[in-house]
Amino acid sequence: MKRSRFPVLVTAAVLLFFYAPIVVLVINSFNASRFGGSWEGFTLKWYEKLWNNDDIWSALWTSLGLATLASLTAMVLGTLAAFALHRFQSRLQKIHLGTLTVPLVMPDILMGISLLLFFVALGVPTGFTTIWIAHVTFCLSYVTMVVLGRLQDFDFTLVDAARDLGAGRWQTLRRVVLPLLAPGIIAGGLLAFTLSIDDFVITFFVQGPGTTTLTLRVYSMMKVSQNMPVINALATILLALTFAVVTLSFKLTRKQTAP
Amino acid sequence: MSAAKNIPSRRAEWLLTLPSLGWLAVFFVAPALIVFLLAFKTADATGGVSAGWTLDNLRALADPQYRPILWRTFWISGTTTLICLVIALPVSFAMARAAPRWRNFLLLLIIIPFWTNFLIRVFAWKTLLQSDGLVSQLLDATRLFDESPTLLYNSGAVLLIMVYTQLPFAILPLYAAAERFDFTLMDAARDLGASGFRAFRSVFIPGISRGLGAAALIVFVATIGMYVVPDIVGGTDSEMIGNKIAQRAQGDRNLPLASALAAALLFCVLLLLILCSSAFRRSEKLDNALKGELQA
Amino acid sequence: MPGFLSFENVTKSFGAVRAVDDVSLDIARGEVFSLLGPSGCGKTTLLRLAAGFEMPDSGRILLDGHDITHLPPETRPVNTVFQNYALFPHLSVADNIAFGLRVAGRNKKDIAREVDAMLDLVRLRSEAQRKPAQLSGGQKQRVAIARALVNKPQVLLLDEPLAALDLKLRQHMLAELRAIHEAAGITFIYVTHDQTEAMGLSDRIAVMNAGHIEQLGPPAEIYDRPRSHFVAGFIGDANFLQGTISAISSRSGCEIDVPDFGKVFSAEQMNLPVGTCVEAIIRPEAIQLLQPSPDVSTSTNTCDAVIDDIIPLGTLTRCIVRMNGISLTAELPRKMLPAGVAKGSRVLVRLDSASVLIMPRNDGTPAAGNHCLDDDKSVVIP
Repeated sequence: MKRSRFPVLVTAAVLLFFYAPIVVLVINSFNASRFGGSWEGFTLKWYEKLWNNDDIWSALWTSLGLATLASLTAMVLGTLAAFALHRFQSRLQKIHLGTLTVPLVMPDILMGISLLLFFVALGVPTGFTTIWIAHVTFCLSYVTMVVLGRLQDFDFTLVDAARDLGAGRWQTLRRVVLPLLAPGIIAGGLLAFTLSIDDFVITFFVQGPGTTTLTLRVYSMMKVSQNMPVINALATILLALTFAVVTLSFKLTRKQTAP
Repeated sequence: MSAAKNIPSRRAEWLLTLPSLGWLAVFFVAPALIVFLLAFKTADATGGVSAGWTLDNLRALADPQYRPILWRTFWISGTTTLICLVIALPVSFAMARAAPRWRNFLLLLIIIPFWTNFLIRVFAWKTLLQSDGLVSQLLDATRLFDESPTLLYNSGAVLLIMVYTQLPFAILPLYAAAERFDFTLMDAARDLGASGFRAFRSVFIPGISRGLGAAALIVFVATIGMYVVPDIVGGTDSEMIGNKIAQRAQGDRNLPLASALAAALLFCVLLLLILCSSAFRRSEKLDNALKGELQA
Repeated sequence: MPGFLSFENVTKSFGAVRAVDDVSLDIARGEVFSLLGPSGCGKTTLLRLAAGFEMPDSGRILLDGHDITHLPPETRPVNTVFQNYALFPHLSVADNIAFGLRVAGRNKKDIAREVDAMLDLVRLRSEAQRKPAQLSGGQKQRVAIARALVNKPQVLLLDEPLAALDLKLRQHMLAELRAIHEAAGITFIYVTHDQTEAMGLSDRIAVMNAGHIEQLGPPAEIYDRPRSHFVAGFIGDANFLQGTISAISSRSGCEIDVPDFGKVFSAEQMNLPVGTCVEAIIRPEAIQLLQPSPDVSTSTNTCDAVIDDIIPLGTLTRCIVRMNGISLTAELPRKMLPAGVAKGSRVLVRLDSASVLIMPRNDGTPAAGNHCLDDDKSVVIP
C-alpha cells in the first residue's frame, strides 16, 4: 500500500518555516551590513558591541539572579505540590490540581495585568520582588507537572524496601526518594529557569523603576529599531544556550536510569 | 500500595499542599478576582484607583473605539487557530508514523523553537519582513509587483507571525494524541476500500479528536490574549485587546479601564475553559460508556 | 508449641474486602514456612503485616514472645525480599547491600567487611560496583537476598521471589535458596502461588484461600491428604467424582456409589453415615489404564471407558478417558499404557483404592429427601 508523501512534505515545509528566520538571524549576526538586507562580509563587531554594552550586562545579571531565585522557589513549592497530588486523592487535591492547571492556559497578559492590579490595590511598589513573585507564580505549575510525571513512574516499593531495611522516614527521603527524583526536579527547575529568562509580557506589567530584565531591555531596543545587529548577536547567544538547556532536560526526562 | 499511603494523615496532606495552594490563592486567584472588582472603580489623577464605584468602564467596552478591536481579536485568533490546526494535522501524522529514532529527533526540532525566546522569534521575522529585508528583496526579484508591498505593520503580518509562534503549541498536543493512535485502524479502513485521504479524514481525525480540542483551546486562548506580536509587527489597524490593556495599564495609566478590558478577556477565557473541560468530561464519559458496552 | 512468629486472630480489611480473615498461625524458629494460594487469597497481605507495611484491624503479631503488631517496619528485626526485587536503581550492588547497615549507623570497616561476606555468599563479588540495571534477573534476585540477610534478620520474608524468573533459573534459584537457608539458619516465610516452589522448599505449607488458611501441614501431607475440595484442586491436579456412601466397613474403608462409574472403594476411614453425599478425589497418577479383557473382572473401582485424547507430556502421558457421562484425566508413564491404544480405543479404568480420598460435599449431612444434587443430574438412593 502506497503511503501519501503529503504529510512528510508538510512537515519538511514547517521545519523550514520554523528555522529559516532563525538561521537568517544567526547569519545576520555575523553580517557587516547594518540592516541585514545583503551580505557585506563577515564580522564579529556586533558581538564586540554587545560585549561592551553595559546596559545589557546589567540586565543579564538581573535576569539571571531573578531566574535563579524564581526557579529555586518554584522547585521547592512545585515538588511539595507534586508529592501532595500524587499521595492523596481527596477533594482538596482536586481543587489543588485545578488551581495548578489554570495558570498553564492563562494568557500572559491576564496574569500580568491581574498581578499589577493586585500590587497596586495593596499599595506594594513594583520592582524586583514583584517580578520574582510573578515568575514563581507562572513557573510553579510547570515544575509541578514535570515532577508529578516523574513521580508517576516512581516505584514506591522502593520506599517499602528502604523502611524494611531500617531507614526512617527522613532517611528514606534523603537516601532513596530525593536521589531518584532529582533528575525530574532539576528538569523542572531548568524549565522554570528558561521560562523566567524568556518571559516578557508578565514582567512588563509588574516591572518597577530600576529593575530591567534582559527581555525588557531587548524589547526597548527593538521598539526604537536601534542596534538591530546587536540584538541579532544577543539572540544567537541565547539560542545556543536554549539549545543546550533543551538537550539537557530532554536527556534528564527521557532517561530513566543512568548506566 | 506504599507504606506512606496507608498512614492517612490529614496534617501531612495540608503541610504538602499549603505552600503551593497558598501561593496560588494569594498570587493567582486573588489577583484574578481583583480584576473583576477594579473594573467597577474610577481612576484617579495619579494613575491609581479612587474610592468610588462606577459602571462607566463597562459601558466603555461598548464604545466604538473598542468594538472593532474585540471583533478583530476574535477574527485573528480564530483564523490563527484554524491555520495552525490545518498545518499541525499532517505534521503530527507524519511524526507519529516516523521511525522511533526519527520521531524523537523531530520532536526535539519542534520543541526547540517552542523554547526559543518569544521576542527573538518575533524579532527574527521583523528583520525578514522590513522594507529592505530578505523577503522584500525576494519579492522584488520576482518582479510581480511594480512597487514593493509593505509587509510589516498590518494584519497579514500579525497573522503570519501568530501562526509562526503558536504552531508548536498545536503540534505538540496533536502529536501526543497521534502517538497513542492505533494506526492499524488506518490499514483496516484502506483494506475496506477507503482512499488514503478518506482514511485520514474519517479514521485518523476522529481518533485524535481530543488532541484536536486541546490544541485548538491552547492556541485560541494564547492568541486572544496576545500582546507582543501586534505590538511589534502590527499597525494601528491591527491592534488587539491585549494592546489596549497594555496601553491603558502602562501607557495612560487608567487602571480601572484596563481592568474592565481584562475582565472581559478573562471572562471569555474562563468561559472557554469551563466549556472545554465539560466537553472533555462528557467525551470521557461517553468513552467509558462505550467501553462498558463493549465489555458487556 | 508456642511459635517463634505468631499471628493471633489477625484480621485486615481493605474497604469491604477482608484480605486476611481471623488468621491464627504459629511459625517455628528456623523453619521454611510457605504461604501458598491463588492471587488475592491474602498471602501477600499476611506477609506485609509481618513486615510492618500494614497494620492489622484486630489481632496481634508476636515475634519471639514480643508484641510487634504496631512497630513500624524499620524497627522490626524482619527483612523482606520483594517480588520485583525493589533494588535501589541509583545505588551499586555493594551500596544496595550496605544500605541497611548504613542507615543503622554502623562504622565503615564493619560495613565493608559484612558486605564483602555477603557478596561472597551470593557469589557477586565481581559485580559489586555494577548498577541493578546491568544485572541479570538471577543476579538481581541474589542482591535482594543479600541486602536483606546482611542485617541479620530473625525472619526473612520472601514475596514471590522467583515469579519474575524463567523456569530453568527458577529451579536453580530454588536450590540456591535452600543452601542459603541452610547457611543462614533463620526462619523463612515464603509467599508463592506456585505449588512446586512451595513443595520443593518448605518444611510446612499453609494453603490460603479467601483470607483464611484452608490447610496447614508438611508438603507431602497436603498433597496426599487434602482436607478440602479447594486444596485438592489447587495442589496438583485432581479428578472429582460425585457419589453417595453405600456401605461402610469399620476396618477397611467405605464404598461409594458413583453414577456412570459404579462402585468405588476407598481405603479411607470415614466417620460418615451411609447415604452421605460425598466427593471422591483421585489424583491423575492414581488411575491405571488396562487392556479390556474378560480376565479382568469389572467390579469395584473399575469401569469400561473410551480414550478421548492422548497428550504426551514428556516422561508422562496424559489420557482423557470417558465413561458414560463422566470423564477422568489420567497421567501415567508411557510404558504403562496398554499396547496399541489410540484415540477412540476402549480401555479399562482402574482406581487405586488406597489413593481414593473421600470428603463430604458441602455441609456433609445427608441430603433432605435422599437426594444428592449434582450439577445437572440427581441420583435417587434406593
